[in-house]
Amino acid sequence: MKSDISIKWLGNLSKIKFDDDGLKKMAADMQSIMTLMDSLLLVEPVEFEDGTEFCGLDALRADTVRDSFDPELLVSQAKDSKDGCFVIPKIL
Amino acid sequence: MKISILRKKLDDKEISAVELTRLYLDRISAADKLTDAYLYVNYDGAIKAAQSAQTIIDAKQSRPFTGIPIALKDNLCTFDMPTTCSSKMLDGFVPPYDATVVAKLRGQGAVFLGKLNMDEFAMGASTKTSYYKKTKNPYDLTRVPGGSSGGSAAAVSVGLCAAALGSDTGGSIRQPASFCGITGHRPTYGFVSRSGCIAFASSLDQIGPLADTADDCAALLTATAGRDIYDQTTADKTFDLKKSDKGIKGKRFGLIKELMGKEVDKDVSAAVKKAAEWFINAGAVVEEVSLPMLTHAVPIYYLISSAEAASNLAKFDGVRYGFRPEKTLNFFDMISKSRDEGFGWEVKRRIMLGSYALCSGYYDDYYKRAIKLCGIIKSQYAEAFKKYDALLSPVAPTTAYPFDKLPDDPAQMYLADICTVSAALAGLPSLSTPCGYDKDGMPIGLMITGKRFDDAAVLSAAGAYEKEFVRKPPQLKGVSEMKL
Repeated sequence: MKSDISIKWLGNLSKIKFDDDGLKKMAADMQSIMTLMDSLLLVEPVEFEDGTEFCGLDALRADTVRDSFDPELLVSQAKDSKDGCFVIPKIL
Repeated sequence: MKISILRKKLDDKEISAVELTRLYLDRISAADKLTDAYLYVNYDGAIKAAQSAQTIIDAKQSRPFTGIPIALKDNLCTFDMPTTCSSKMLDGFVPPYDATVVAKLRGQGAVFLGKLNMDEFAMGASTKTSYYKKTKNPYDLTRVPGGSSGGSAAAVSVGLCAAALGSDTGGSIRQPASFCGITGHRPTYGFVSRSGCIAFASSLDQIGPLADTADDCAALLTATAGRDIYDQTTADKTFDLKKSDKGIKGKRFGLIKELMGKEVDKDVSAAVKKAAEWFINAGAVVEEVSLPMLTHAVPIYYLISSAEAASNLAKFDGVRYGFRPEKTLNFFDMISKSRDEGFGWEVKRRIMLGSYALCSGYYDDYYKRAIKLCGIIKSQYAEAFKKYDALLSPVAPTTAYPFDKLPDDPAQMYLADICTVSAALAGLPSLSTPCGYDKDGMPIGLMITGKRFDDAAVLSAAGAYEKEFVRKPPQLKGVSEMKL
């Protein structure tokens, strides 16, 4: 793993908060995992012609209005909601 | 018990749909204390569905899955049962809709017995990363059932459902099927809609069947395949094995050299070679074939799948649904604490790896390189399929291992996926069927991989082999073989 990457910074990027013990454990695990991933750096990805076809990816659906879900049903699983909207803690 | 037999018994009125459902529910009550395959048993809902199914049968309008008791991996959304992905993050979550595959089977009058345990968010190969419980292998309760569809495989193996649906991102149907001595099929990417399957890695995720036989898997593929407006990767194709099955005489199979190396247990490689000999004796040609890039498939798979997981799991932030801790300082603290406390360790590891692979300055070295190398894997498969109808290999380097033998080193754990990840990266149909037992009596799986949308080739080859192979069902103390 590249030495200029900090696990704390990566945790911020991943929106996961680790305590000190968690940071140490994750650092050790990531070191092992990245040693395996770094094995690819020795493989030269030569240019190739991808002959495989992918189905459906260009088959866009028609842009038509359809029935959707009741907003009250969709917010019913949220921890906090009001008038069909999600409620979150204050940002400022 | 085979779905075709159950279908006949239901249609001939030898047993009613309610009686059949009660038999399975009673069996779950008795045996699942040992295997812990189910997270949720749908006692009342299953009986009601069976009553509805019986009216369809009485009206002589039954379809292939009317009244058939099916169970579902817990990453498939069901509007009437919790869907947790075996994660604290989704504890108690009841989706507002059915996954497309669930809706299709429900539309036929299938009876859903419940939801099955899995590795958290399908990340793992032992079902040990589940937040809720450890599912045990029915052949030896001290061993893992494999994963991530470990609950599905264990339930089918010991007869706690007629068949199950699972999902396979890098081997999550095939490896547990192999470990539990049943048949598991990963359909071609694009054959079956993933709408309502909680996403792990969208370019790889595929829903597929786990069942007693390849014929049952084919029946489930027929029922679930086809174009879906909610999944833009689905093809406008249907599946009918009867129209496609041309037997195996004269067919050409390649035995993949890179997956038969020293890292594969002797018992496993011997069983796969013996199966290859059976194909030769049945009139097929089997030759060794080399796909060199497969030796790099594990890091390629983990970089791509983890990058996609980091994006897909970003939506779990404690706002719209899922876990949120009681006390948080502010909005940003709420998100990071929800994710820290809601996700298990393996999920966090994959998100961290994915974030790393995608971050500025490292994207070219890791993610982009993995995508390019994945293209080489696809082209090597395409080259092999110019000569062969299907490819043979082991499903895993070992049989099911004891819970306490799971490696602590994550890289060692990931390397055990070497046999299954390549077919997933290439979007190919791939199947596991039992082909032997090791010295401890644990099942060994043969993997058959085919060309894109030639699922019939792998299912018909497995079907022919299964007619000759003698299975040894698991013997659970106090649980007898199911008889109707």
